[in-house]
This record gives sequence, C-alpha cells and structure tokens, in this order.
Amino acid sequence: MAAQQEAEQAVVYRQSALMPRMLKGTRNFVVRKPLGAVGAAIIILMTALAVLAPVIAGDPLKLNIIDALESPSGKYLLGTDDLGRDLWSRIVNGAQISLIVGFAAVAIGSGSGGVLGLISAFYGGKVDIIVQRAMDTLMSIPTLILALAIMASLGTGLMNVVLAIGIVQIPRANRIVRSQAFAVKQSEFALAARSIGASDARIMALHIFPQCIAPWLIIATAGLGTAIISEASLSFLGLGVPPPEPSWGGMLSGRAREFYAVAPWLAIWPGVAISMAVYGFNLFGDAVRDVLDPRLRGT
Amino acid sequence: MQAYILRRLLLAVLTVVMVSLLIFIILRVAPGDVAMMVYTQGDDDIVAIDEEALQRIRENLGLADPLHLQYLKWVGNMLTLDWGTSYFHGGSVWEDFKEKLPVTLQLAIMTITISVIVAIPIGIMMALKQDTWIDYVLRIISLGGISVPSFWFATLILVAGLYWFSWSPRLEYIPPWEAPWDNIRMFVWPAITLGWVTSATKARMMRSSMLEVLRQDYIRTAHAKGLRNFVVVYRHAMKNAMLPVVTIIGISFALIAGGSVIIESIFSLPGLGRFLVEAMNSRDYNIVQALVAFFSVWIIIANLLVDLTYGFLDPRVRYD
Repeated sequence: MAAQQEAEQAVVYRQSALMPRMLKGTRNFVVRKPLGAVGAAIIILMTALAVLAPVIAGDPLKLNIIDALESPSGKYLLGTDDLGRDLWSRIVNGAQISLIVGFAAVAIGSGSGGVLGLISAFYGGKVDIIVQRAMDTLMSIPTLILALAIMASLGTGLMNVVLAIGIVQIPRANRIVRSQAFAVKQSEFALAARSIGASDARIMALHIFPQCIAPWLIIATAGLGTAIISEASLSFLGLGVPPPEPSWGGMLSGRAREFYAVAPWLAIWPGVAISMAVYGFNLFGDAVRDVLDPRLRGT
Repeated sequence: MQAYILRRLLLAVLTVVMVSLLIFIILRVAPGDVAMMVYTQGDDDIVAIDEEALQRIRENLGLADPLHLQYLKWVGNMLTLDWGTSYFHGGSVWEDFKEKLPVTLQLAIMTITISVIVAIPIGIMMALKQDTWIDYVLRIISLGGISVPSFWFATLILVAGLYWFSWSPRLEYIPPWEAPWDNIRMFVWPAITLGWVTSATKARMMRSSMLEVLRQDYIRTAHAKGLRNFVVVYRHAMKNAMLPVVTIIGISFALIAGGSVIIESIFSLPGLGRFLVEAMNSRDYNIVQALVAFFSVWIIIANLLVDLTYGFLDPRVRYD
C-alpha cells in the first residue's frame, strides 16, 4: 500500500516538474520565434476547427436551393454556394480533408523516403546506386505532373490523393536522411555497436536513426504545406478528391466559377483557407528548421 | 572536364530510360483496360459488350502485344516522332504538340525573365538587411508566394478583371509575329502569376546563398582592408553568390512545367499544360504518356545543363 502511494507520489512529482518545463519551452519558442508561434497558432486553430466540425457547423453536403447564393449573414456566416450549401460548414469540413491528406501523405512519403535513405546509406554500394537512381527517376518528373499521372492512373479519391502526394515526397526525405546517415555510419559509436555484435537492423534503428531525426523532421514539416497545396491543386484540376466532398481546391473549380461575378465570396473563402493553412505550416516549418539546425539559423 | 561531361551525359540517358519505364508502368500497366474505356467512351451504362469489337480496338491500339514489346514499340515511336493519335478524336498527337509547344515556351521564357529580375535583387536585399524590418517584410511576402496557391491567385486576377474592368482572357491564341502587342497582353497576367510564385522560391534561395557567402573569411578580409561596403558586395560577394542562381534558373524549369498545367487551364492559354489536363480528364493515355515524357525530358535536360554549367564555373564540382 505504501509502495503504491509512493509510486503515485513519484508520478505527481514528475508531472509537476514536467509541466513548468513544457510551459517554459513554449514561452521560449514564442519569444524567440514569433513567426513560428503564429504558424503554430494557425495549425492549432485549423485542427480545432476540423475536430469540432460536427459541433460548430452543419452538414456540408446538405442542399438548400431556396437559399442558393446567399451572401454572408448571421444565418450563413460565409454565405452559400450555387446549390445552397453552407460555405462555413464546407470550409470547416474541408479542413479535415486537408489535414488528413497533409499528415498521411507526409507519413507515407517522408516516412518511406527516410527508411530508404537509411538503408541506402547503411549498405552503400549496389543498394545505394539502385535506390539513388530510382530517386533520380522520381525527381525527373515535375512533381505536380507526376501526381496528376498517378491520379489519372488510379482514379480520383481521398486515398489515391494521399498515395500520389506521398510518392512525390519520397525523394527529398530520402536524400536528406541518406547524407546524414552516411556521416553517422562512420562514427565510433556505430563501429562500437558493430564490434559487440549488434545486428544491422539494431544499429540502424537504435544508433543511426536517432541522429537523423532532426533533418528528417525539417523536411517532413516543410512537406506538410506542400502536401496541402498539392491536394488543393489536384482537386482544383478535377483529379483529386471528387465532388461533392468539400475539398478546398475542388470548391474553387467547376460550376462555382460561373457565379463569381454575383457571388465573389465563393472565390474568396476557400482560397483564404488554403493560403492560411499553408502559410501556417510554412511559418512553423521555417521555425522548426531554425531550432533543429543551428547551421541554418537565420538563413 | 571531358570525363565529367561524359559521365553526366550517360547518367542523363540512364535517367531518361528509367523515367520512360516509370511512365509506361504508371500509365499503361496500372490503369486497367484502356480498350474498354475507348469502347464505352466514358459511358458506364453499356451492358452488352461485343467481345470482337473490343479485341479489334485492342489490336488497333497495340494493346494485344506482350508488355515488353509494347514498351519497346512506344519508345521507338516516341523517338521517331510518331506519337500516335488521340484515343478519342483521332487527331495526330505530334501535330497538336507542335502547335501548342510555342505557347508554353513563350510562357516559360516570360516567367523566367520576370522572376529573375524580381527575385535576385530581393534575395540580395534580404541578406544584406538581415533581421531588420525590411528583411521581415520581404520574408513574409516571399513566404506568401509559396503559400498562396497559384490557381487561386490567378482566379482573383480573373475575378478582379471581370469585376472592375470587364476584362476576360482571349480564347484564341495570337502568335507574336502577327500582333505582337496583343500577344504580350495575352501572356502578361499568366506570366506575372507564375512569376510571383517562382520568384518567392528563388528569392529565398538567393537570400540563404548570399548569407552564406557574406559569412566567409574573405569577405571579412575585404571589409578589414577598408574596402567600401558597395565594392565588397558587388565585387566580392555577388560573384560567388551568383553560382546558385544557375541552379535556381534550372529549378524554375521544373516549377514552370508544373505551373503551366494550372495557369494555362485558368487563363485559357492553348499550351501543353492545358492539353495535358484535358487529356488526363478524358483518360486519353496516348497524349498523357507523350506529354509526361516530354516534360520529364525537359527537366532532365535542364538539370544536365545546370550541372554542366556548374562544372564549367566551379572546377571543384568536376571531382566528385
């Protein structure tokens, strides 16, 4: 009984030590990187809107022809589109799509790119040559055109968008992790691990990988903004998330364009949403880069 | 230098081969039965299928051969400029391509000119005034250029033009030799839109490259021996900071290839980008394959030229 109490007490102590440290860390970040903090605030706001969408907004697909093309008002915060769908509700639900695509595509793309980079650097020789020529190939097709070609081949849909944008993001993470892993591979602790008989997988996972996290994270955060803008572009061109799903890019294309002269809010809000989101991720990404890579600080 | 050129050339050829394989896999193997799509012409309600007609379409399109033969035949046709015909309207892809290429080239040249003129001075300015309000304002604007999607920026220009000046883009293309003024007017907004987006990336790269050079010892020496600030920046720093500009211009080619797809669609410019989107939307794979291959070769050649220029300008590069 006493032991349990002691353990509980220890947890409380640890938490009480952790909380001020986290607060202090946050305050430091805000003071040193004001632009990065603005970016983080935008990301948090966007995530909150996406999560709370069912509570704070109605059905994004509900048609209401009588109220079509209503201008922004108390009833419809951002107005309605040509089919009378509530724009606020569509924007808020669109945030879900953008966030899902952003994080999933980066997880798939930068994730597999990073693992391949690790393997490529660790084994070197033929493995390295094969992987790097494959990366050359992927990088030789313009990113948007490669994503479009994959979409044309797989067909439209949310999962295919994630896959297409993810594949496009593989090479950058690969290159950055590879060059870092090359340097770490020759370090004495990696050699020491090998000399006591550690397996390849163990050396890669426990000794080399931790040293590659910082550069990988820089590329991954930079990839979030790119992924969101790519999704919007694909959907805008009709080869992304298909209507009637409320993708921000899709909302700016198709029939809506015919009504811009009478309902300019249709042209404005989805674009503001995309720009704000991508701006937030880019500001945050720049700050992350500055913090994690002292060499690039201030550049 | 000769060995370097040879090595780079071989690598470029290898990349072209790999890219052609990738395109073939993505667009010929993955999408399923193209013959069926041609047969139904996008109409999903057809129930009765004439197997013989389907087989005829397959043979006509060369889809009945084994895959490796199809690949070799496709590569051979691409090289001999026999790019086949559109699956749906039957027109020659090569003829369409020749007609649309000048539009995209003109857009690319105008965009690169605009963005180089804008981006390089801004990038240098940001580096020289690092961490002052000028740097902050320019950084916020240039980050905006990366964050605002080009298709939305273009849409705003269109809506504003329509709203206040009742201006809308012309639908038919005017070659520069027929009516130069009309031609420029047609391209100026698309080029500015695309130029802004590509300038943002370039200005940011120019800034970090300049900052790196400004921290070198020889710059401090130049300051220490009493040279004027102007001379240090323009004689000493600029020369080395300009090296990455070559890379920057190379990268613009990639950005423009992707950007033209969007910008041409919005401003109704009859170039290759719009051609590609239309072909993709109607699943016209002959056109898609040819155009994706063309854009990739465009990038590979741009990268090759960048590397060769680098090897020429900076002898250290040749010994990697």
